[in-house]
Amino acid sequence: MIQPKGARDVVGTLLDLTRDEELDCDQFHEHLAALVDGSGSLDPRLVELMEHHRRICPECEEERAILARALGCD
Amino acid sequence: MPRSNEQWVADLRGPHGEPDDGVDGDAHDDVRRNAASSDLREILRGTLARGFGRQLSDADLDDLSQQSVLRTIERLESFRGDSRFTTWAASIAVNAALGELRRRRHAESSLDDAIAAGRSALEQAPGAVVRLQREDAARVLRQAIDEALTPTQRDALLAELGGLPLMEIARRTGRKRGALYKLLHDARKRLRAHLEGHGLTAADLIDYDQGRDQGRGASEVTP
Repeated sequence: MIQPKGARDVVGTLLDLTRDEELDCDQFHEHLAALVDGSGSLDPRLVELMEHHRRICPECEEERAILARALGCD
Repeated sequence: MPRSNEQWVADLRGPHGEPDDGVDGDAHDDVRRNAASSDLREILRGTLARGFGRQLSDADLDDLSQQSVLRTIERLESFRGDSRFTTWAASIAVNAALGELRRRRHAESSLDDAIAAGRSALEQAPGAVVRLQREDAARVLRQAIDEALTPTQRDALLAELGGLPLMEIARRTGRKRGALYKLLHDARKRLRAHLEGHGLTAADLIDYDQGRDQGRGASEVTP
């Protein structure tokens, strides 16, 4: 839950991270298993987009972290 | 002996090379498919137990692992083979479990409540010491949210700021999570352009003492 005092900071941070090209959450999830297993099979450009998505979307980052922990990959 | 990716897919397929449609094939196919489903359910149950700890009860683990096997079979044709099959299935299970936990956590809060909380958060008075530039940026941001965004974008952004996870906003508005993300991505681009039109940047909104490392909606499910 975002604390009221920080809402504008959060928007500012989101806008600061905004790019023209971003992965959406479904696209991130589509490649999540390959990222967690070791990103060797993924295109480096896709890995970079996924890293960006991790920074801007805490829900997807939480999902990745739980999956990695569950599989002993963290 | 562990199954290869190809074996998992073959064993979980229906009798005619299709994902299991519930129609009985021959007895051999049924035995193979049931064994693979049972093995996968146990693997996913263990994965969820390790990932979520005490947040999931035994009954949750039973239900979610069973649901996840069905979802995995439904999506079998989309498995590309660029990870281990069990990692791919585990990603489906973790997604399902997070969805269930977020749904429970926010069951009592409505979309309207979240939108109002987001609005209130944005209008909260700044601290006693605040740079004039930052206050200007905040005013322009509030104006941009009301004028530059569509009502759908505005409500989604405010609900997000009000603490409702994207997964829940998507569920309650009948959208896919990816579609909601795209809507908010477009909203962010519009807000940034509006700020820039007023000679401001995103950095002007951020109080670097507290805001730089603060992500949106920090983890609320992970212990």
